[in-house]
Formats: sequence, structure tokens, C-alpha cells
Amino acid sequence: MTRFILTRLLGSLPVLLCVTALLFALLQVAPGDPATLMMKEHADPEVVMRLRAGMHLADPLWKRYPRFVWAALHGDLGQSYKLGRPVAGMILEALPNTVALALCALLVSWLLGAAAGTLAALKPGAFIDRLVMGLSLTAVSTPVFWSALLLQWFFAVKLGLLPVSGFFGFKYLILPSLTLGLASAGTVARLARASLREAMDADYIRTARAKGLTELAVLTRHALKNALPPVLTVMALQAASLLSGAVITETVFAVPGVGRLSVEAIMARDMPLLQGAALTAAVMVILGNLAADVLVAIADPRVRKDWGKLL
Amino acid sequence: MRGRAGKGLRNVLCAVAAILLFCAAQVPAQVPAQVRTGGELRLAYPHDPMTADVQKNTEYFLLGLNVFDRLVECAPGPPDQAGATAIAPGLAASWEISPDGLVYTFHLRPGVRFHDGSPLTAADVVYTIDRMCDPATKALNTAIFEYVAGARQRLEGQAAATSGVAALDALTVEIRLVRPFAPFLALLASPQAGIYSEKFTKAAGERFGLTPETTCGTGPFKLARYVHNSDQRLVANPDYFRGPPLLDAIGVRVSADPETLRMLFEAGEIDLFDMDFAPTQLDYFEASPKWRGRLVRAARVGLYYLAINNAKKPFNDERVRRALQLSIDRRLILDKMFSGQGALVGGVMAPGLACFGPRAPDLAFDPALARKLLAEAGYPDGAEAELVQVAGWPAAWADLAQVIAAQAAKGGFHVKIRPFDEAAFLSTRMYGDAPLYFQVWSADYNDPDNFFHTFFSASGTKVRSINLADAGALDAVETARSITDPEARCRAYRELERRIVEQDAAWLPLFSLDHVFVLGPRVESFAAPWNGWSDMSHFATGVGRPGPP
Repeated sequence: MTRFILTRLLGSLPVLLCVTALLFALLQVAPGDPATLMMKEHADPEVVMRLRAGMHLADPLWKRYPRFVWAALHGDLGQSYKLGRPVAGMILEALPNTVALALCALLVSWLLGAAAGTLAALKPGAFIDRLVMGLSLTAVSTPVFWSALLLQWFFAVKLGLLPVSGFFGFKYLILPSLTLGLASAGTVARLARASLREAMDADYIRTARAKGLTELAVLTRHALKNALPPVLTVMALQAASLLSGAVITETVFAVPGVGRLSVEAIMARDMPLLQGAALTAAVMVILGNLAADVLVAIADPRVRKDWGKLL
Repeated sequence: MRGRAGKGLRNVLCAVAAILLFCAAQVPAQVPAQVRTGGELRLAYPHDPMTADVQKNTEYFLLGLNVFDRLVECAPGPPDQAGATAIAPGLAASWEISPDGLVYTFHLRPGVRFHDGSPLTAADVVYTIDRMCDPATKALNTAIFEYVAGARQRLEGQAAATSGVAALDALTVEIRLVRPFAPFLALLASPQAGIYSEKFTKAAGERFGLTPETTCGTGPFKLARYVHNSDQRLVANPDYFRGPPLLDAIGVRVSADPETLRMLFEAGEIDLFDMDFAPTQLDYFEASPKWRGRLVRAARVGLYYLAINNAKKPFNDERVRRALQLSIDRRLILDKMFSGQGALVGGVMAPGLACFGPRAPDLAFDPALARKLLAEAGYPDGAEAELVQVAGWPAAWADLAQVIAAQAAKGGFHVKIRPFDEAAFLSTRMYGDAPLYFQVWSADYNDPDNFFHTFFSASGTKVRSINLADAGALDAVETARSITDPEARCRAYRELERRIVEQDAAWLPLFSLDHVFVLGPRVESFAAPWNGWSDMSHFATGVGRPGPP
């Protein structure tokens, strides 16, 4: 297992290089100039020229990219053009907020999604099944910015129970986590239901029932374990995408996370900051994928066996 | 405008008048002033302030205006003179300007202390100006000191200090200019000209203004907390030289979403709703019996304008530009889109600006004549034009673009709305290549130069893609900067305004919109700043008890 994880981690280094190189190239062709954006309505050609010189924008790509990689390897992601702060520090400041939000949202998504999906799968075609399927479809198809506003209006303005936005403690985490969690709970519920249904129709379930096991034992010991791998994969990928910053939710609820930093960086063509945010997102996706593989292996011995062949 | 650069005795009189005016200005016009009750004023802004360092910020000055003081301040005039302002003493108790307009001598107020307890001295002022010009600072607002002797050499790295600024003694600063520069005093009152402590700022280095520990000024509030993209907190400076502010603290939250801003206000989480951050909410607040009586309208020294690229076809023909001026029914837009809350502007200067005259130019609305002019100019079937629409601009501006395009169509223009990303637009504009676009400009300092030089200086007219081709007018903008007689200078600007708007038809001003604020139930004293900005000093703002949880 350790060997597998290490190999995978080593294998992801080229991915990181590719992501950053691609971003460098894309930013090179994207119109817009960070110096002009810093000055906006107060743009003065002389000052813009001085700023540009300080940013080394005139240097060719083949000089700037290796410089970036070399510094990044030493833990230095450079300094934000617009804010003058070290990028690594800004990301380290924003990341815990994104992680806290993502974990709470995932908790909502997994618990709610898995429970609802299981309930629906037990009684296919029954009222509860149709209710869960209907609600999950609604949850999946509701845009986050809209559900966020509804939740804010109901819980904060109408009932006065929770704060509208901001990020100053656990109370402030509830609404954004619900917003994000509900949207992904729908996916988890539908997938859990489908996967469990498939498992429940399998021959080994018939055998288990014939052995005289109770329905609960059939479900927990045989069906769920077999239904788990696809659900785990989707959950881990959800985690990866949430951990790289939920841009809309962070904006609406004023969470100072990585998603907000990325938007800020794109709008300002703040390359060092954007590189930092993209690198963070890439790392999160790689880790999420790895976690998915490891979890599936733990749940499914056949996968572990296949790894043995691969390595 | 009173109290600005004059000569000899008049200067002293002006200073006295300015002190009186400033005292009067401390009493807010809209809501009666309160005795100090303390408490926290809670605000929300849609953006992070980026840095409290005013030398490195061109956009957000809430922190800068409350943490720092300037040598002089621009204060609103007395209530009976709507819109009038005066240059009032700030950290400088008095000042003299040499008759040739080249030497400014400031006498600092004794006993002023920075937030770290150290006294303000002339050396701090010298340091502040030199820091702006020091290339290592990478300051953005260097233009305000561009005529200080030695500033250019310092900026270009040829000198180790700015030679034109010197401390004559512990409390006297002398600034020498390379040429007479009439707007200089007004510029020293702009938020970009905040005064720093030499010792503290040097020690803070590049982190100055980024954290509470590395921010220090003389102002009514101290920065106590600054979390990027989350919130800032300012606490009262009990030793402020004008006395402690009415508030104990100001809490500022960053909330990027305009819908959320209104919910924050309605849920009682913030005390002030700034309509500039959510213009679409005006109708709601005006109709609401709960809030109607809590609306405060402030005139804004600024204007919306439609920038015409004088160098780009078809607008390189004066008749075509005039046709566009005639096609836009500005009154209709102001009345229907903005509930009539503002004033039409017919010139370059906005109401409230020094030298703004009662006989400012006005533009007629006559689409039939516009079509005739277009035909004369060789466009009998109408002229093609593009109008910029930037994705990140407020939603109301997208509607405004539609309206302008539809109105221009009646005058014979086929206007195509061209979407831009902000970054792409700004760099296109920088090279003088942008098509028709609209924007808003409001005064940083109360001097006509803030408008004329921005739009019609040789460099400004290009970087804003206006490309005024009238060489005489471009020269006149430069010349007007050094006219030392205030009356003669105002006359020059009024003439220039007519020349640019009427003779050259180079400029299409729209209107000046009032700035509307809604006061929450706790706010007991509030006055909008002279220029109608969102960013202001909250020295005189007061809230009643009970304080927030």
C-alpha cells in the first residue's frame, strides 16, 4: 500500500509541472496587463511602465517559467502583484477556511446523501424512494447562488437564527456548508441508490437471504460493502473539487478562501497569485484521486490484488 | 473655492476662514451631531481594501482616510453654501506660499502623536514625500508630487533623496516646486497624501499597511485587525489631536455579493447601506415605509461620461461627434433609470468642483439634427460604432449600455455593444484604441485639474482613449496648472470647457448621480464626505447604544 501511494505521488509531479506550464502559457496569451489593472482609472503611462519593469513582464517565457519552478521548489511562490503580500502566506491563510467549509459540506453531503440513497434503495418504487429521487434531482439542479440566497433569506433575515454571511466561527459555517452540501448530497444519494439496487439484485444477496440472515445483516454485511466503491470514488472527487475552493459559495457567504483568491487573481491578472491558487487546486485534485483509490482498495480486496500486478 | 493658494495676507485670512469652515464642517448637515456615545459602526464593503498604504492604493481609501491625516484637509463648506469646500488645516496648522507659487512652507501642529506614541515632526513629512518618490517603494500615486524639485531624479533612481523637500526645524517643512503648480495644495488634501512616521514606516518595510502591527498613522482610528477578504477593524485613537472620535470602533466586513449586502443590512448586521455597492436596491428602499425616512442623499463631485475616441472612425469627424452629443437624451436616462436623482452635467467639471460655474455648457437633444450632421459628414445611412461593455462592471451599467445604444440609433448611429473582459478593455484603452465607452469619475481633490488633466492632458487623453486632437486645448490644460491667480485660473478652465465640449464636440458628459446611503436604526450622526465618496473619515459619525453583540 505504502509503495503504491509513493509511486502515485511521484507520478503526480509531472502533472503539477504540466498544470503550471499550461497556465503560464495561457496567461501569456490572455489579453490584459497586471500593471494597468492595478491602476485602473488612475492609469498613468509612466507609473505603468515602472510597475511592468518591476514585474519582469518583458522577460521571455522560457526565462520566467524555470525561475518560477525553481522558486516554487524552495517553497517561494513569489509575491502577489496587486497585494504585495507573499503568495504562499496568502494561500496558507485562506486554505484553512476552504478546508473547514469543504469538510463541513462533505459531512452534510455524505451523511445525508448516503442515508437518503440507502432508504430509497430499500423500497424501490415506494413513496420514500420517489420522494428521495425527486428531492435529489432538485438539489442537483438548483444553482448554488440561488439556493444560497434562499437559505440566507429564510434562516438569517426571516428567522434571524443564523448570520447572513462572514466567517467568524462555527455559526457562520452552517449556511455555506448546507448550500454546498445539499448540492452534492443529491449526487451521492442518486449514486448510492443505484449502486445499492444493483448489489441487492446480485446472486450473493439471494444466497445470503437463503442462509436465513436478517434483512439488516444482508444490507450491512453484504450489500453495502459491495455498493461502496463507486460511491467512494465520487465522494473523494467531490472532496477534491471542494478543497480547491468553491468560488460561488465563498463569494456569496464572504468566506475568505482559496476560491476567492483565484477569482481575485484572475480579475487582476495577478500571475503569482493565480499560479499559487492553481497549484493548490492541482494538489487537491491529485490528493483527492489518490484518496479515492486508497479507499476503494480498502473496501474492495480485488482492487488490492490488481495493484500487486501493476507494481 | 476659498482658502486655496493665494498671496500674503489673503493666505492668512484664508487659513482663518478655513479653520472656521472646518469647525462648521464637523457638524453633519443631515443628521444632528451627538455627544460621544461610543459603540461600533458596522460597515460592509464589496471588496478588500488591499492595503492601508495610501501611496500604493489607487482605489480604496476607507482605511487610509481614518488611519492617517494629511497636511491639509478638504472640508465641506457651511450648510448655506451647498457644495462649497475649503482647504482646512490638517497636520499643518498654517502655511505660506511664496508669491511665485514655487515654495510652500508648512507649520506643523505641535503635540501631534502617531499611534505608537512618537511625536510628529517635520522629518516625518519629508520622509513621507521622499518615500513616495523612492523607486524602491513602487508607489502608485507618484503623480501628486511630480513637480516637487528633485522628485523626477529620485523616481528615476538618479538621486538618493528628493532634494525639494526639507525640514527647516522640528515643526516646519519647506517644499519647493520646479514650476508653479496651482492644484498642489488641494492635492495635499487627497487621501493619497497621508503622512507617515519615518521610524515606524522604515521598520515596517514592505509590510507597511498590510497588517495592524505594521500600520501606524496619526488619524482618529487605529487599525486593529485586517484579515484579507474577510474583515477589518479600526479602534478609536483616544489621543487624536482633534479629540477622540464619536465611535469606539469601526468594523468593516468584505461581502462581495450585492444581494447579500442588503440582507446583512436588513438582518441588522451592518449599520449603513451604501447604494453605490448595490444600485438596483434603490427602488426597494424608497418604497419601504421602514427605510424611506432613513435615506441620506449626498451630492457627488463627479460625473458619468461617454468617452468618444476622437481618433477613431467615424468619430474623427467633429460633425459625427456632435451628432452623438445630440442623440443622447440624458434627461430621460437620468429620470427613468436613476429616478431623477442627480443633475445633468453639460461640461467637463462636475457640480461642487472648484470653478464649476452657473453658466456651464449644456448639450441639446436633437436626433433629427444629428442625422442631418451625419449625412453632411458622409454617413447618410448612419454611422457604425461600437460601445464597450465590461463583464465585471455593475449590472446597471449593462442596462445603461443598451439604453445608450438605442438612443444613439435614433440619431442615426448603428451601435454594436462589444463585450470585454476588464483586463482586456483596460489594456486596449491604455493604447488609445478603445471604442466608445462610459465610465464615472469623481474628485480625488477639489481642483478642476483633477478633471481636465485626467481627460485632456497629452498623456491622459491617450490612455483614456479620448485622443483629443485640439493641440491648443491640450496646451491650455498644461498652462492652466501654473496660473497662480485663482480667478484667472477659473476663467481659463471655463473657457477650456466650452472649447472642448462645444467647439470640438470632443466630450459627452452625462450626469452626476447623487450618492444614496440608508442609515440603520443605530446611526445617530452621519455626514457624507464633500466629494460624495463611499470612503470617508468616520471621525464625526456616531451610533447610539446598545452596541452590537
